[in-house]
Amino acid sequence: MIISVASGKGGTGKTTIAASLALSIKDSMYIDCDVEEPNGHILLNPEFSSTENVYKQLPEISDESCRHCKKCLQACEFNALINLGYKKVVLDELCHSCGACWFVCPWNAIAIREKEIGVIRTGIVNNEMCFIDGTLNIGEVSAVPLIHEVKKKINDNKIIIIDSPPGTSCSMLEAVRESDYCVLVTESTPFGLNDLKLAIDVADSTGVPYGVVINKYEPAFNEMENFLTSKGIEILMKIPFNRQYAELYSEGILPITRYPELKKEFVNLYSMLTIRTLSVNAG
Amino acid sequence: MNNMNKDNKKIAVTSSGKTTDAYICEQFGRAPYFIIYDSASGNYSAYENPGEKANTGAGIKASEFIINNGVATLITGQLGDKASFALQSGGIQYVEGYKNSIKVKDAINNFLNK
Amino acid sequence: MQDRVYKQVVVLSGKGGTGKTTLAAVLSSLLMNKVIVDCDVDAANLHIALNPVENKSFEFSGSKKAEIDTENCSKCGLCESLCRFDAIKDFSVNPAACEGCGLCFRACPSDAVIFQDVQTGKYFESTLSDGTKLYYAKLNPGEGNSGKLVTEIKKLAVKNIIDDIQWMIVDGPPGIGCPVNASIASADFAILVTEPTVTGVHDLKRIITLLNKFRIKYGIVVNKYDINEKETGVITAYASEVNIPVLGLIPFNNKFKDDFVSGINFKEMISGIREPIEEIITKMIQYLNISVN
Repeated sequence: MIISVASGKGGTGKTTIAASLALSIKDSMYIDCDVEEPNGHILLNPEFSSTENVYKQLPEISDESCRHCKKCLQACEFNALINLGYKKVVLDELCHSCGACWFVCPWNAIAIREKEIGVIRTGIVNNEMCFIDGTLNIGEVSAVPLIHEVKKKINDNKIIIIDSPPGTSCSMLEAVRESDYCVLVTESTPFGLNDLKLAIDVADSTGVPYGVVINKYEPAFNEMENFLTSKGIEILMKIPFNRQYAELYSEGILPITRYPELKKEFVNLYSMLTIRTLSVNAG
Repeated sequence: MNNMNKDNKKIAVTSSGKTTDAYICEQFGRAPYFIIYDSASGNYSAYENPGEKANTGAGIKASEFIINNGVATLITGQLGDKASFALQSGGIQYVEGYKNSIKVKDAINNFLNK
Repeated sequence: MQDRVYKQVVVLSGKGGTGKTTLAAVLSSLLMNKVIVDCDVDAANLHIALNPVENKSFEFSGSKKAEIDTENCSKCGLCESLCRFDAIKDFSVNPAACEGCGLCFRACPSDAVIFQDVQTGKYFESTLSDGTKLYYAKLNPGEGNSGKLVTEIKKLAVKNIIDDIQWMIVDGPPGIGCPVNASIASADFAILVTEPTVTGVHDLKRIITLLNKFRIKYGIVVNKYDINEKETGVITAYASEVNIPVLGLIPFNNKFKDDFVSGINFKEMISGIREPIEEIITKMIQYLNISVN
């Protein structure tokens, strides 16, 4: 089973919830796909066992073979090739590795070289839970290829918790797509509700079933519940706003490690998710 | 580096408009226009910046234009990483720090009198 | 050389959830004669707090997409085999996965691929009850490429600035990519909002490197500082060490939060945190060396 945890808005507690959920499940694996700013390792404190570099493929244009026909420049939609007259230079960070330049070159002047775009680290938490995270190099135009590689580490024998990047752009889409269920995290504020609606649009486009966890829950903000009820979207869990939780988080400590009753709620959340994914598969 | 076609007297300025009375545009990659001043002839020409409408890599498209038009020096507000790399690769000198409260012609005069 | 008539202030944070947009909204409520631009185009929230009336909307195209013309398609499958993004299946392009590279378009032997600019979002010019203009955007789900959109929104805002405008307030996007570059272009000052957490200093360092490169003056605000006074101390000590002004420390305020979720009018709501924010504005004006009404 693959559960993705996402949030339209940053700062709602997505990583805290993903990490807490992962720790509340036996035989789980936590995968941090927020490759631009991975924070899961701060809360989970894994012991790292390995690091692997991730590469993307880039064009290498041979000065000798190039006949300056400029077909490659015209083919590049991302302006990653610059024509300096006497040679063609590739702007590595802008290249999307699509292969269009290589395909159109009539002179066979383009070879493939590799460039590192980031790293994937593997580790273990509390000597039992598998941990994976990816970190994208600064300046890289797209997180998507690295997220794709990080997801390849999925071990089918484990319950996978994917911590998605915040927001609603292509990186979040890449993290959430093809998961069995998506937990959308929001907060009881007008901003939280607005961004949740955006996240719901993306989740809808993936076809992945989803439900909502309302973190920093305030009963006074009934717009949130009214909206979700009117759309028939399930509220999986409500975590009331608690100043102590905020203080623990600021120290890099997961509240479930200090509050057993909170941990029970995450165990319960997992049971709910098991039932939801079983019924989706059976239906 | 092959500079044989470069005319060392051309200065390019990122501009918000098509005339030298227009104010400087502090961005480079997405500036709407370049004004190129040829100090040999004393003439000014305005060009639309091909980078303005680019989806990504605007700075690269803009750099390519500057390099391929025989410009020696670029005057602008701030350059992003990729644009400065591209301009350096093309042997273009650049001066940053100009604000959008100055007119293009005044910026050029200011630069020439340094 | 004279300075611009109005000052452009950008509110930034390395990480989401620090209170950046809320601070931008409060600044907008306290400053006079301003224009407001929400450059957090992936998830615009400022209009939620400020409640404008929509005036005009504009289409935005940030990408090209491919589409297969089934009439001309010979079903050779070359496109699917070449596509590096798994965007083509059963002779149909999934627009969410399509990155707009155009390879299928160039490779298709039957000329069966339509490849063109598509609308990937919208942006709006709106007006607040006091006549202030607010500009914001909405990207279609799953779309990115926001550097271009940020530039377009700012251009529209600048085009509509009238003489007595003294401030352009920009709510910046999170992170440090191209959209942030575009949001800080021509800025006179940046306010960095941070929270006192163990990652606080780390998150600040990346945005600070960018601001130094762009030679923009900036100051730090620590929001909800009393949640962790030790970490607040770490941040202020770091700021002192590298000579970055600390504009203010804002305490966590329950009443403000309760008012916010109860939907009380924003202008009425800010009484609880008016003082620390007014101090922030005063300090910012000092650093800008200007006299303002």
